Amino acid sequence: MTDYGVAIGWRPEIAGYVERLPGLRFTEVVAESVHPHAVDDGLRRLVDRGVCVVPHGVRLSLGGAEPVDDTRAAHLAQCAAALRAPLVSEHIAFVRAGGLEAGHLLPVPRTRESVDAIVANVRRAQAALGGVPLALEPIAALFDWPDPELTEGQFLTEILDRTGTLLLLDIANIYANARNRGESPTALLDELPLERIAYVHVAGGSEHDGYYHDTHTDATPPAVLELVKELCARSTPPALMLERDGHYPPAADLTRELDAIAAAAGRPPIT
Amino acid sequence: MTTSIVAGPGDTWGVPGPQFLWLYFGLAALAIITVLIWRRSYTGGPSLRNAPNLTATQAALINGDRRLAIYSSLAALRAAGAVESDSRGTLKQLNHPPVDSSELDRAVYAAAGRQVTAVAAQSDKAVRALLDRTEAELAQQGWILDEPARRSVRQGALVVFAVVALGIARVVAGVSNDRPVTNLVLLMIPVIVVAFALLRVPRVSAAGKRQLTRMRGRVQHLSPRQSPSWSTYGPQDAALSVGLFGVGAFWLADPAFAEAAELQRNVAQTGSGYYSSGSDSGSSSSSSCSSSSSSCGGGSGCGGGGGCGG
Repeated sequence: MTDYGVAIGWRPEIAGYVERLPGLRFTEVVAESVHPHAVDDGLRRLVDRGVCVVPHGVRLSLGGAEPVDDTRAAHLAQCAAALRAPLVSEHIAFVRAGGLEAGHLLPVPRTRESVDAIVANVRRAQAALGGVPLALEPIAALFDWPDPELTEGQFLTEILDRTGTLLLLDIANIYANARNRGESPTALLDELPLERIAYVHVAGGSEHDGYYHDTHTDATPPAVLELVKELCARSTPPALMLERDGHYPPAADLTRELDAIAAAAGRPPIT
Repeated sequence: MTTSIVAGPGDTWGVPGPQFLWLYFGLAALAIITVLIWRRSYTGGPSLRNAPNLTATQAALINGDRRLAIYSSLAALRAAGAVESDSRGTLKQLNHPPVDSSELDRAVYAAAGRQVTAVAAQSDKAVRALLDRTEAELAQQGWILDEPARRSVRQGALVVFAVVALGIARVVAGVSNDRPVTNLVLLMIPVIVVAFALLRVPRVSAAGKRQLTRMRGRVQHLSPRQSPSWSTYGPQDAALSVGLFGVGAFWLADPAFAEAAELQRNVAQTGSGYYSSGSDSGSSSSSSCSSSSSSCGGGSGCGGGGGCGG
């Protein structure tokens, strides 16, 4: 895969900042906010500039008990076509069950049964995507379902192997999960199929009552940057993207954060 | 009986009806075209080719009014954390405004030090003097038309009204002479409509409107549709966002302050955002800003951005 270097997620609120980054070669847009027939002018300019814009789904509910909605999967495919994206991404999570919308990405139990259900959903989504590669992102979980039959690494590897999908690794999730379970983040990293990484999410979080929350509204903490360094010592991810979803800081702070990620990953700065 | 185009003894003013109709038509057309060309010298405005970008204050004054100019400065001051408002709408100073603040930002900041409301800031002496000067400059450069200019332009309509008066005189004479006047009356109707239309003079020149549209296109990321982050873009872009796109940008970026400072919701509203729909139900008394305000919402167009996902 092409090496895209450091990146930042495109969000309407900071679109002007993202567009002005001279070294930007990769970004991601929340797929549910894209109208394939009326793509935002700013996004269109990025695509025309040759920036790789990946549609990132949040509502497909691949981890749900019921089959994925084909129209949602088809929308993802239309976004990919409209943005000339080489791949799309989604979460391994469920967002609705029994007709109720959770409004959140909820974790899936790590059992063989749920692996089978997810694999079936992913295959159905792949059919609707019509050949556009799909990258799957495990989510941060504040709790685990009881009695997991598989470790996180086994669970993921099995899903990726059986469906031929790529891994969207959220390094802040790895940090959050390991910390909240009292495990070592690097040990968790070593369990994962790093050679399947499509790209990496880097994000900030904050600590409340002894738990680390993957908020995407705070600056990336040094511990996560340290983990970026560990990751890049083990593999060469095609892109490392800062994911910021709210409480947007001044442009200078974003620039500092992007430079810090570039330094940790040993990539050239894009600012 | 054949209609003669040669003047006969029964013709009103010695000019036969059909001939007068042609003459009248030519005269009316000539008058209207002349007035339109003459008007254009006032309402056209300067060439955009080498025109510099408008400042936030200038954009606000062209796009809206003095209130919007104050709001755009308040946006800059809010983005810089320089002012706050108590629950009664009284402004208070916080941090010093940044060094690159505009003159109006500094004047509004100073007014905030005298504990005025956002409405009262408009009548603050220094603020008013500054707005007077900026408006005069804009009028002098041709972006907007000041009152004397609008009055002269309005007077141009008198030429067409004179043509209308001639028609009325002919109709009166024709009726008393017992001649048919229907065709002349029918011809006069559009002339009268045009005469009244020419009484309406825009406050913003054509170039002013085009310049606003051009700048909105260049800074689409500051449109309320994108819910622009003022903290990321900084004070000057926050002010420009309000100046170019109207007060809606303020309500989206800083609703708590907009509410406390009692900012009017409907000052120069252009296409409001995905996010705002439904937020204000009854309060906006549609287009209260009268005929003079430039209601044309440029820089809009459907779709795009919005709806930040999970």
